[in-house]
Formats: sequence, C-alpha cells, structure tokens
Amino acid sequence: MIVNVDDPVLEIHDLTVTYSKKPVLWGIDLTLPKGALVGVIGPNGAGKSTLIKAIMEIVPLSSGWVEILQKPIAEVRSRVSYVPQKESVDWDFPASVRDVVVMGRYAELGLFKRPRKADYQAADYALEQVNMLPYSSRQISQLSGGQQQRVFLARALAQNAEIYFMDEPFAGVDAATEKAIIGILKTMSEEGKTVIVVHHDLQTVTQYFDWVVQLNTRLVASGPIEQAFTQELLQETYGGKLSILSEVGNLLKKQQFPTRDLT
Amino acid sequence: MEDFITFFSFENPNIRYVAGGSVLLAISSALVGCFTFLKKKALVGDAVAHAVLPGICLAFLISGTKNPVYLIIGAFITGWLSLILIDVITRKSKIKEDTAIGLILSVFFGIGILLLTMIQHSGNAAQTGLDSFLFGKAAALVGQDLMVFSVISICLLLGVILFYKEFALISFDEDFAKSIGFPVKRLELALTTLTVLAVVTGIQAVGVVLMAAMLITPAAAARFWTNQLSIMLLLAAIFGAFSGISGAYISYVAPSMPTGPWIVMVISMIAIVSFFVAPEKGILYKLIRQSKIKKRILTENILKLFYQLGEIDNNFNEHRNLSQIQAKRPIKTPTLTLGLKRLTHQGFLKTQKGSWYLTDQGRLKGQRIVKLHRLWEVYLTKYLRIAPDHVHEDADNIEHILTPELEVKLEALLQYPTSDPHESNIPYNKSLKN
Amino acid sequence: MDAIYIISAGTLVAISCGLLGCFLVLRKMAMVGDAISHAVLPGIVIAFLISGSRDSIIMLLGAGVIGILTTVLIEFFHKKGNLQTDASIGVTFTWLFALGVILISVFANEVDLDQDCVLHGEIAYIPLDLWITDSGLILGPRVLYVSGFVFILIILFITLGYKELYLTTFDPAFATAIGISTVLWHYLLMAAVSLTTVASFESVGAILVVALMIAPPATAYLLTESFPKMLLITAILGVIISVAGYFLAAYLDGSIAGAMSSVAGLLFVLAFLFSPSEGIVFSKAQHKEIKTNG
Repeated sequence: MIVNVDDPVLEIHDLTVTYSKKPVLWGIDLTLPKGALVGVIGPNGAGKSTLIKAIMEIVPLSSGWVEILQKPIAEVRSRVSYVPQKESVDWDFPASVRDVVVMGRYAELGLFKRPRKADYQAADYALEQVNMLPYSSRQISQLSGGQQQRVFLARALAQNAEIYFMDEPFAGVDAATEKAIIGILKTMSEEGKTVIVVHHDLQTVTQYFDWVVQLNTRLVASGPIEQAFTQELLQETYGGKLSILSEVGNLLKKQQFPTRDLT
Repeated sequence: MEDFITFFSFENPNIRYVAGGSVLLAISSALVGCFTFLKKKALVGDAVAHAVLPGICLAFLISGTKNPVYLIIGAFITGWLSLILIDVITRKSKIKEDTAIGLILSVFFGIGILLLTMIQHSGNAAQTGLDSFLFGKAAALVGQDLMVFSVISICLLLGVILFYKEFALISFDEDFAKSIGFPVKRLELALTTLTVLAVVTGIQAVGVVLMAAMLITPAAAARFWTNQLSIMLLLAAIFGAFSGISGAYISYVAPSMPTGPWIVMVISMIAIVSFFVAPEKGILYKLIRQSKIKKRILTENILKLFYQLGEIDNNFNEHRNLSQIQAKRPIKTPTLTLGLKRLTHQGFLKTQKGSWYLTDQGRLKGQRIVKLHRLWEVYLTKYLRIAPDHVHEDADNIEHILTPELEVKLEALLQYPTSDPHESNIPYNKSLKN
Repeated sequence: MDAIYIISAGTLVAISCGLLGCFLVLRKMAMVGDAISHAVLPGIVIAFLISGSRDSIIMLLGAGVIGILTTVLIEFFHKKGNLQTDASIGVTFTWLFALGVILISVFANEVDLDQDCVLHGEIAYIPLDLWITDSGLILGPRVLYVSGFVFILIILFITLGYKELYLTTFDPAFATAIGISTVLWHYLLMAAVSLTTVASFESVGAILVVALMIAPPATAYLLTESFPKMLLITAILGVIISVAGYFLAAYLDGSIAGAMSSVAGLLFVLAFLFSPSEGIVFSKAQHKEIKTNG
C-alpha cells in the first residue's frame, strides 16, 4: 500500500542507509504531497529517526537520493526545518529559552552575522505561538519536558520554513503540551506547510494525521490515513522484521560487504 | 650482539633489577588496565597517575625520606582521593565525567608541581631524584625497589585471579551483576584499589604522564586479537612484559635513551601494528577482505554476463570476445582481462584465440547468480514493495552475498517463481539436467 | 616590572585557554583538549629542529596541523578500529608524548627544551627572554608578544564564529540541518586549541595548560546558566588565577604555573561548595528548608 503523488514536496528514491554496513533503511521509495500532516510510525529500531536524519543529510546515504521541493536539500535548507529528539541535546547547557529559539534564525543570518532585533522579535513571536513567551528569559535547565519540547517547536517556527521534520515531538510531554503542539501542527498544515512527524502512539494516529508512513527497515505503507492505516498493514509493520532481510543485513555487516556493486 | 647477550643473560644485578622491575610493572598494570578498559574508564587511570604526585611530595615533606614505602602510601592516598572526587563531582553537580577527570588530573598535578618545586627550592639534599616520578626512573631501579614492586605485583596478580569472575561481570554488565546480588559497590572499590596500586607502582618506571599508556595501550592492543577475556588478559600481559623488557634493553644499549618513553613507544607500536594486522578487526585484514570481495563480485559478474549472453542467443557454449562482453556491460578492459584470466584458471571458462566460453561448471555458477539476482528482485517487489524499476541495483549487489542456506529459504518463501518482475525467466538447476 | 610581565603573560594565557575551554567542557571534549596539549610535543620538537629556534611562526602553524592530526588519529582509531573513544584518546596522546620525549633525548644537543619545562613550563623566566630587534631595540619579553598575538586571534575567532560555535556545541544535528558544518567548526576549534597550547607551552607547560582550559570554565559553569556570562566569568577567573598564582608562588617559593593551577582548583572547590544555584552546601540547606516546610 504505497501511494505516490504527482508534484511531491518530498521525493525519496531508492534510499538505503547503513550502520556499519548493516542496512537500517532498505530501498525506500517515497513521495509525500504538499500540505500533508504526516505521521511516521513503526516499531523501535525501524529506522524512523534515521529516515529523517538521512533526509536532512545528518547521516550519510549508502544509496539513492532525496529531493525536497524538487531540489537537493543543500539548496533548500532555509525552507526546511528540523526538530531533533529533545533527548539529543544537553539541557544543562547554559542558554536561555530565547537563545535557543533565536537559533532558528541562524540559517538566514549567514556566517559571522549576529542576530538583530528583528530576529529576536521573530523568536518572541514564535514563543508566543507555543505559549512560552513568559518564560523567554528562563534558563533551559529549569524547563519541564513539555516546555523543552515547546521551545524546540518555537525554534522551528522561528525558521519560517515550508516543510517541517519532527523527531518524536510527543515523547515525554504532558497531555496539555501534546494537545497544544498538535493544534499548532494542524494550523501549519492548513496554511499549506508540510509537517512530517515521527510518532509512537498508535492510538492517536487517526486523530492527529491525515497521511501515514509505516516503516520497518523497509517501507510498508505510505498513503492517506484511511488507506494506509489498516489493521493488516499494522500487523505487517509491527509483526517483526522480515527474517531473510535481516539475515542478509547481518551478513552484509559481518562481511563488511559494499552496499552497492560498483564494478 | 654482545650487548644483547650481556643483557639477556641477566648476570648483572642492575640489569636484573631494571628488567625485572619493568616487566613486573608492565604486567600488573596491563592486567588491571584490561578491566578499566572494558569498563570504558580508561582515562580514569590517567587521572590517578597525575594525582599521585602531590601525595608523593607530601609523604616526602612529612617523612623527610625517600623510602619507597612512605612515598607509595602517600601516592596511594591522593590517588584514591582523586577517584572519589571525580565521582563526587559528577554525582553532585551538572559537571560531566570528562570535565571532572580533566579537572582533577590537572589541578592535582599542578599542586604536585607546586609542592615539588617548593621541595626543590628548599635546598634539602635528600630530595634529589624525587622529580624522577615525572618521567620515571626505570633505569635507576635498585634491589629495594624491586622487592616492593614484587610484593605489590603479586598482590595485584592475586587480586585479579581471585576476583576474575566478579571483575569480568561488573565490567561487562553492572546492572546484571547488581540484580543477581553481587556486592557491586565493594567489587568496584576493590578494582579501584587495584588500579591505584598499579598506577602507584607503575609511575616509578614510566612517570606520571605516560602511566596511562601502561594501563590502556596493552588492553587496547589485546582487544584487537580476541573476544575472550581470559585471552585478552594473557595477551595484554605478554605485550606489557615485552614492552617492559624492550624498553629496559633499549636504554641499556643507548644509555641516553629514557626507559619509560621507550616502553610506551614499544607498546604503542604493538597496538598500532595490531590495529592494522589483527585478524577480523585489523584494518589490513578488512582491506584484504574487501579486495577479495571485489574480486569475487567481478568474477561472478563476468559469469553472469556469459550466462545472460547465452540466454539471448539461446546458446550457452558460444565463444565471446572482449568487445562482445563489454557491449553487454562496460567493464574496463584491464579489470575484465584479469577477471577472465582468473575464471579460466579456476576452470569456469575456457579460452581460445582471444575469446572465452563457459565450461559446464561455469554455466552452473553463472546460472546461479542470474537466478539469485532475479529471486531477490521478486523478493524486493513482493516483500519490500519496491517498484520493479528500482530493484535491479540492489539485486546486483545482494546476488553476491546470498548463501546457499538463504537461497533455499528464498526459493521456499517465494515458492519457486518462474519469472522476475521484468518477465525474465528464473533459471533453476533442474532445467539444466533435462 | 618582572611581576607585571609574568602576571600579564599568565593572564593572557589563562584567558585564551579558558575561553576555548568553555566550548570544550560543553562539548564534553575536555579530555581531547588534554590529549592535544600532550600530543603537540613532538610537533614542537620537530619545528624546533627545522627552524632552529622557539619563536618561529612555523611552530604556531605546525601546532595547528598537529593538533588536527591528533583529533584525526583519535577519530581514525575510534571509527576504523572500533576502539572506544576514551581508549583511543589514551593510546594516541601517550604515544605522541612518548615520541616527543624520545625526540628530545635524541636531539638533546640541538633542542633547547628540557623535559620538566615541557610539563610545567617556566613562566618565571619570561622577563629574561627579551625580544631584541636587529637594531638593538628591546621590545620586552618575547613570550608576552606570542601570548598576546594568540589572545587576539582567539578573541577574534570566538567573536566572529560565536553563533556557529555556540550552535554546533549545543545541537549539532540542528546545526547540520540548517547547513552549518559541524565538522568544519570542530576542526577549527581543535586548531585553535592546538595553537593556544603551543603558545602557552613554554610558559605553563603541557599539563597546566589543561588546568587553565578546564578548571575556570568548570567553575564558571557552576556559577551561571548564561553562556556569555560563563565566558566573562572564565576571563575574570583567568585574571584572578594569574595574580593570585603569582603571589602564592612567590610566598611559597615554588613554581608559578603550579601555583596558578592550585588557585584554579581552589576556586573550583569554592564554587562547588558555595555556588548559589549548584553549590552542594547551599542546595543541602535548600533541601532542609523544603523538608521543614513540607
């Protein structure tokens, strides 16, 4: 069940990503429509975060290519926003909420230039949207999990991008924050922005998203929620790895086999 | 040569002390180092090594003598203290372990230097030689030192042998050790004590800065060769002993050469060589394996080409020349000739006047590769839902790695499909027999 | 006059090291800084042999290269050899340091460096080593110029690259995502660390460079939660350390560099115990308060 779209906002072609030669993502072909609110689901270790990191070129690709807005990522970085897992940074870091949100403006500033008043205004505006403006001068070490996530979302909003990738924005946040965040994401999607979210909780998929991508090393399904979020497909995604595929993956790692035959 | 004989006859008591001392020290620190290495606390040894300096100076200031027993006690106390402080700092504040180690290491050493220079400037005649702890004084070991070392080394050895199982477990999986009721805290205390002991004795040979190498490097070198803890310990001890005696020998032959740095140099060389040549993990080994894989892929690809050409003409015995093969797949001429030569040598091809043809054996092998390629394409389209026009490249690679076991599984899973996603026939062995 | 020379050289070195150290500490790379400070030794000896003197630009440039080489080696052993990072650091720097000491012994006649000086430097000799132009004009202590030059470089580096250094330190994945090269800034920082190490080497020695790189930032980290303030506090601590270190050394008749690191350690202990937000004494009192209130 893989639905492809014409004029996609994101196109992934034959993407393979390996970790010390063992494929964690295998032969992914995927297109996503503009303005969709996409949930990426799959069991632990299915390669969900890796997919997003590969799209942003944070991890190297072993094969294939990715195009965002019909261009390679390097040319459109300023139109793309990425929200890492909040556990990926050290929240003891000496920074205030505002410091972090203004980082969203760095891409447009360019080398050597300092953020100016307009950038701080943009940051404050983003903070207002996530209801964090009163906390703008607070140190990030004093935030709760939900507040940390709101700060990350505000940083993404400050980027004013067209397509957003979010790695588990609902992990470790309180119910109120979860509701607030999904509200913002829905508004963004209505404004024509594309939002791709790595998600864990299957209960809320149908409420939150209009498009779903099911992943387990390989792409199991991608399509509008009513077509691609079926019991049968879920079983395939969560029913364990394909035994032959993982055996071949292990062999590739053991023999340090190349990912592509280059002769 | 004469030097060599004099040295290794060990008749000269000085040589005996130096060689014996170096070897004992190297072995005991290598053994303890294996556990700290496996616990991923390699740099803690470095911190202890630096932290013993103020202890030595204080012991001297208090006792007024250079009696090794006093100095070792002093060193032991501050070495221990440094470990406790690292632990307290990381637990009680937001400071991370690496910063805590670096902080303790450099501040303790700074205090040590301050004390040492104070002692030196005080004009106390007894102090000469105290600074040898900085770079070690393996070449100046005497009988009394050797006695002390031997006792400590034996303690260390006994400690490692007695607690072998326990140390192995806490280095491997601390939580599990806790869950089965091991006194993890006390065992760690024991291991820490042994580490401090090893450092305290070891610095007399190689000095504070290079002591870390005596703990880390033999373990790192041994780790390349084995996955078994007992063998790793043995190898680390052997590497340590070898570097100890080599260092002693080098500074015997060339007296201006410092023993400690040479011991470290030798053990580092062992580690670097291991890093390249060790089986399985060595880089050279990996490169050789890569080139073997490349060769295999090349020859299998050529056989596949012969088979595919045979399919097109419906004649598997046809002779083909270079340009015919290259028309099917543009492999560079030198590479192709090499591959053809190898295949002829292996009996998969026969050659005649600048052209080659398949032997029965070659045809079977070519057929297998073609079959695996097409089976994998079927698998990818069916189970990974990859579009038929995207499966070829992956199959081009995976066809070379599928083992006979996987081949059987794949056939059974796909129920012996007759054609691949591109409608090409999948050749099975049976058809050949007909 | 001598005291002023020594204290100002010490201050320049302490501030340069401390500012870079802030980034190292936050990047959890304190031990890489330690490794670089040891590993530049063979580079210094070789540069000495090539140029025949201490005050060459070759030495500073060569140092940057060797520092980067050290980081590359550490990463090479780690990635290609699957050696864990801590062990990879340990193996690399001890090996290079041993090589340096051996080179000093081999070329003892040609190289005017002694082993002790390598470890703890001799800042007290700074006023003796004057920079005299060909025309005989005395321009003051040579080391002062070298550390001043490096100090300006470091300040420039941090001011110009502040945004990039800050972001790649806090959230490297996000930095990569918005097109800031984490690898480039990583190596630039390593080059800066090596440069500073070499420039500070003769005055404070290899290990005390580490003390100045780690102790003031760690102290400042406990005192503030704002990064600009952390840099400022580190710089102020640098001044305090060199002034207090100088007088402590004079009083005890010991090594100035040793006294400076002792002071740095003492300041850390004070912050660790009494920092308003992080100090263990204060937070204990706080705990009690909460308990009594509850």
